[in-house]
Formats: sequence, structure tokens, C-alpha cells
Amino acid sequence: MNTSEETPNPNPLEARQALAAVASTQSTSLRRGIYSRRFAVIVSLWAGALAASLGTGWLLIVLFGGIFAHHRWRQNHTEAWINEVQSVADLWKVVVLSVLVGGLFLGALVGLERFQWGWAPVIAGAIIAVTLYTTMELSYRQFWARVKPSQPTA
Amino acid sequence: MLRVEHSTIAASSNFERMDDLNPVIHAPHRLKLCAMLSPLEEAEFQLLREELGVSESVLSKHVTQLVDAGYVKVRQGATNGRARKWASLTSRGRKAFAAHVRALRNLVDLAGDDRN
Repeated sequence: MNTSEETPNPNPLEARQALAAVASTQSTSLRRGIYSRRFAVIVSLWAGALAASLGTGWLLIVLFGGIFAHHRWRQNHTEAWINEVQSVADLWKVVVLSVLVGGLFLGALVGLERFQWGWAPVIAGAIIAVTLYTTMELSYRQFWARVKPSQPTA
Repeated sequence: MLRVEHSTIAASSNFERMDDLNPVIHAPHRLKLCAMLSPLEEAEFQLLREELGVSESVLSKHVTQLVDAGYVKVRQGATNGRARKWASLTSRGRKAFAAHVRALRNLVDLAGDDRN
């Protein structure tokens, strides 16, 4: 029997079985941890509302209300939470999305402050909501495609 | 019963660097625990119990061993007055698990090469 000080010495068959168990368990884990479509809708609407509330007294309320609600929910009500950035490609998607959303926010602010376009924040909010939901929906489908047991990811 | 002491934590770090099989992670329940946590930021104990099919005491024992090795951290919370616990892999734990999976894969690949 192996003690904590001894290196385990499985044969190749046992190693293959261990890898299969890892792959299967990771698939199960992804299924349990993937965010729901409802969450994607809520986040997208919140981001859109945030942009649309630029220049109004609602901005801080929407911002901090959303952050607080998400924090409380994550702290006490989720049973599992997926790691959204699972690869370098995922990281790049987050960077590009952040730049795009940031640019839209900035554009809305410039439109409102400099050109007095009252509709700029609303248009930006709509674009942000649709873009964010589309991205999250695509990620959601990609994650579900990954949950088929295959090679374990390390 | 396995005991993970500080000398073993230091020894474990050698396995993390060398892509050798990690004795702390290799036990079936702990391997599945790490596999369960690897794609997640964190998971609740109840979920881990359900998916691993073990009792609370068995799960706690294995989680404690992983915590002692520095691979897992535990967060406590409460919902409607009910105490809840969540576990997550530390960055050290993620690297150790990744190294262990690579070592298993190398073992399988080597066996395939020997047959050829």
C-alpha cells in the first residue's frame, strides 16, 4: 500500500483508467458549473442598462446594485462556478470583448457629453447587451461541446 | 491512513516540478476531487459529495489532505442559516494536478511506444 512518501507506480492500464476517470469527471464538472442562459440574459441586460444610464442619476445605482447582487448570489447560492478563462483563446476573447464594450461606453459618453446626443447611451446599451449575450451564448455552446468525455485537460 | 506532513509537502513540490506521479493527488478519490475542481473556480461540498459518491466524513478527510498539501482551499458561508462550504484548487494545486495528468499521459504514451 502506498504511503504519502512513496511515488505511486501504476501500470499503463491503471494510468489509462485514471485518465478516463479524470476526463469523465471534468465533463461532469463542466456540466454542473456552466452558467445558465438566464444568467447570460441578466448580465447582458445589466451591462446594457449600465451604458444606457450614463449621464443619469441611475448609473451608480445600477452599477453597485448589480455588483452587490452578483456578489451575494455567488457567495451563498451557487453550487459550482466555472472558470470562464480555460485557455489562451478564452483570455483573448475576454480582452477583445472588454475593449469593445469599453469603447462603446466611451463612445456613448463622448456622444452624450460633447455632441449632446441623448440617444447615444441607449444605442450603446443595446449594442452592448446584444454583443455580450451573443458572446456568452457562443461560449455556452462551446462549453457544452467540450463536455463530451475525451482527452482530459490539464 | 495517509498522513500528509510538512516534509511531505516539501517532497510533493518535487513531484510538481518533475512531472512525476504525485502521491497526494494519485489516490482515486483525491484524483477525482482535483478533476472535479479543475474546470471550476469553486464547488460546493454537497456537489462534490454527490458526484464522488462519498460521505461527508470521507470527503472532509480527502479535502483536508489536499488542503494540508496546499492544493485546495475551503471557503465557508451560510444560506438561510444553513452552513455551507466551497472548495477550490489553489494555483499550486492546479499546477500539481496538471503535472500529475501529464505524468499519467506519459506513462500511457511510453507503453504505446514500447509495444511498437
